[in-house]
Amino acid sequence: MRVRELARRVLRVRLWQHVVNEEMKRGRYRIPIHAAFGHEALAVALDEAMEEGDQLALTHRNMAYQFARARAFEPVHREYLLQPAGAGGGRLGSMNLTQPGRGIVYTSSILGNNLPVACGLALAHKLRGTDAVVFALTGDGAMEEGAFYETLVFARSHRLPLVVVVENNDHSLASRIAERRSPIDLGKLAGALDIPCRELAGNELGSYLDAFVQARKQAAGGPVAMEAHVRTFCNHAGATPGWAADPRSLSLGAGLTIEPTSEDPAYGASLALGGEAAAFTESLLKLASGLSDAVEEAACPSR
Amino acid sequence: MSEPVKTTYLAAVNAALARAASAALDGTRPLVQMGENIDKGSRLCGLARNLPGVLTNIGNCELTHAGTGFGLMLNGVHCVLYVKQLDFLLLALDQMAHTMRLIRAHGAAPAAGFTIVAIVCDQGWQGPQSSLQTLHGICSTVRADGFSPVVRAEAERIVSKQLTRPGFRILAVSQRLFGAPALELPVLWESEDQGCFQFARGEDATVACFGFTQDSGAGLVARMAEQGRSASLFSLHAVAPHRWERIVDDARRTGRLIVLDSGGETLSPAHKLVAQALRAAPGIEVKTVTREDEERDAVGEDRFAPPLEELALCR
Repeated sequence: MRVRELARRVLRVRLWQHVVNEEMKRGRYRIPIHAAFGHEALAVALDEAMEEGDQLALTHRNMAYQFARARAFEPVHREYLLQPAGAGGGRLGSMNLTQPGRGIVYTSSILGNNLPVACGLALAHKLRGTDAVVFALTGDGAMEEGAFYETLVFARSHRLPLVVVVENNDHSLASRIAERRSPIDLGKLAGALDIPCRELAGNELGSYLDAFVQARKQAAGGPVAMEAHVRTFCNHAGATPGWAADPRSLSLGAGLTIEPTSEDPAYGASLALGGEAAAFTESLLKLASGLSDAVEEAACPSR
Repeated sequence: MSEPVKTTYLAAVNAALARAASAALDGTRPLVQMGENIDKGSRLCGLARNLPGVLTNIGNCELTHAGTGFGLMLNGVHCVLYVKQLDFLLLALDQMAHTMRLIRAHGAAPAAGFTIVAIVCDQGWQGPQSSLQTLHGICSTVRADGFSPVVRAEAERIVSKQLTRPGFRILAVSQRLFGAPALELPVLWESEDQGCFQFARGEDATVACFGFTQDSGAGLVARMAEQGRSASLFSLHAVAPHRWERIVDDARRTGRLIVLDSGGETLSPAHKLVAQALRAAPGIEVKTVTREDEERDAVGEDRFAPPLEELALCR
C-alpha cells in the first residue's frame, strides 16, 4: 500500500517537472533551472524516509527534491517565477532554493559546497543530542572535488549523523565519467575510511525506501555513503545519451514521458500501480491543464 | 628592582578569547572551538592555550572546516575556527564567498555566530609564501567583516563583542607582535560596528592605520610629539560599508593625512580612504605607505616598516 502511494507521488513529481519544462520551453523563467527527470524515485523515497528534524543539503539539480518535500507545485513554481509567494520568497530561485520548514536548509549551486555545510549541520545535531540525521546530496561530478573526500574524513572522524548520497548520472554537463576522469569506486573509497556504503539502482521504490531508512538508522553511529545510479535528462545541455527524448522537444500534449526501462522511475511507478496506472496518469494530465492555467495566472496576473 | 613583566600582545589576545569563550559557554547555545592542534603542541603558537570548554582538534582541510562552521551557525551553534595562517583561508574562499551570498539572500540573520580566528604570519621571515596579509581583500571578496586589532583595549573590545556575535567574521591576529608588549592606548572613540577606533586626537596630522600598523602609527605619533607636534590616531578594520567620515573630518581639520596599510592588496583600502579624503578636502596633504609600496623581492626581511622618522618630519 505504501509503495503505491509513493508511486503516485513519483508520477506527480514527474508531472510537475513536465509543467515546469513546458514553461522553460516558453521562456517563462528568468533564472537557470535544472530539471531532474529521472531522480523522482530517489526524491520521493528520501522524502518518505526523513523523520522530524532531519535536514537536507541539496545541489543545483534539486527540482525533484523540492517538489517531493513541498508535496505541492505552487510554492516551488512561484519561486521559479521569483514571486514573493515562492518557497524562498522569490529571492533564491532554483539553484539555491531552500525550504527550511520542510527540512531543506542549504542548497548550493557550487559543486561540493553543500557537503561541508552538511557536516556542520550534523555536528550541531550531535552536540544537541537530537536523533536527527542530515542527508547531503551530491553527484558524480562533485565527488571529484576535494570537499567530497574531506567531508567523508571529517564526518567519520567525528562520527556525524550524516548520509551522503551520490547521484551518479555518469555526466558532468556533456561529459561522461570515462571521458573526463578515472573511475571512482565509492564502496572502496568509503570502505577505506571505515564508512559503510550502499548502492541503489533500478528505481524500485520499496528497496529505495528501505535503503534510506536503513542508512538513516546506521547514521546514528556515523556517516553513511550511498551511490544511486540515475539517468538524468540534461535539459540545459541536450538530451542525455540513452534517453529517447530531449526535454526541449517534450510536450505534455503527448502525455507523461515514461520510458519503458527500469532506469525511468516513472516506469517503475507505473508498474507499481498496476491496473491503476492508466487512470491515475490520466487524472494527472487533467490536473496538468489546471496547473497550466494556474501557471498562466501566476505569471501574468493581469490577464 | 626588576621591572614588572608586561603583558604580551599574545597573552592579551589569548585572555580576551578565553573570556569571550567562557561567556559564550555560560549561554544557552553550544560552542564549538576547533583548530588544527588546538589542544596539542604549542596550541597554535599559544593562541588557544587555556581556552575553556571542549577544544576539537581537526585536520588540514580549511574549505570543509569553513563549511562546517557555517553549518553549525545555521543550526544555531556558535563556532570559532582557529587557523594557523591567514593564507590557509584561500582554500576556503569558495565556501566563504558563496555561502555568505546565500545567507544574505535568505534575509534572516543567523541566530549563532561563526568566527574564524586567523594568525597572520607578518613577522618578516616566513618566505615568499605563507605570509599573506590581505585580510581586506579576503573580506571584500567574501563580503564579511574582518578585524585586525593591535591595541590591547581594541583587541579586548573586539573579541568580547564579536567572537560569538550572530553572523560570520574573520578575526586576524599578528604573529609579529605575539611576543611584544601589548600596546596600551586609551580608546577615545569606537564606531558602533567596531570598524573604526580612535586612540588620540591631535592638531598637526591624522594617522589612519589599516592591517597591523597601529604600533607604527603610535610610533609615528610619539615621534611627532618629540618635535612638539600632535596627531590624531585611528585604527580601521575591514568592516563594510566603510564609515570613515570621522577620519575624513579629522584630516580636513589637521590638513594632513597619513595612511599606513600592511595588507598588501594592489588596491588597498588606503587608496579608497585617500580618494574619499581628497574629495572632501582637496587641499589636504596626503602620504600613504602601503605594503605594496614596501614589497621586497628578497626572501629575508619582509616586514612592513614604514619610514616613521621621514613621515614625522614631513611638511
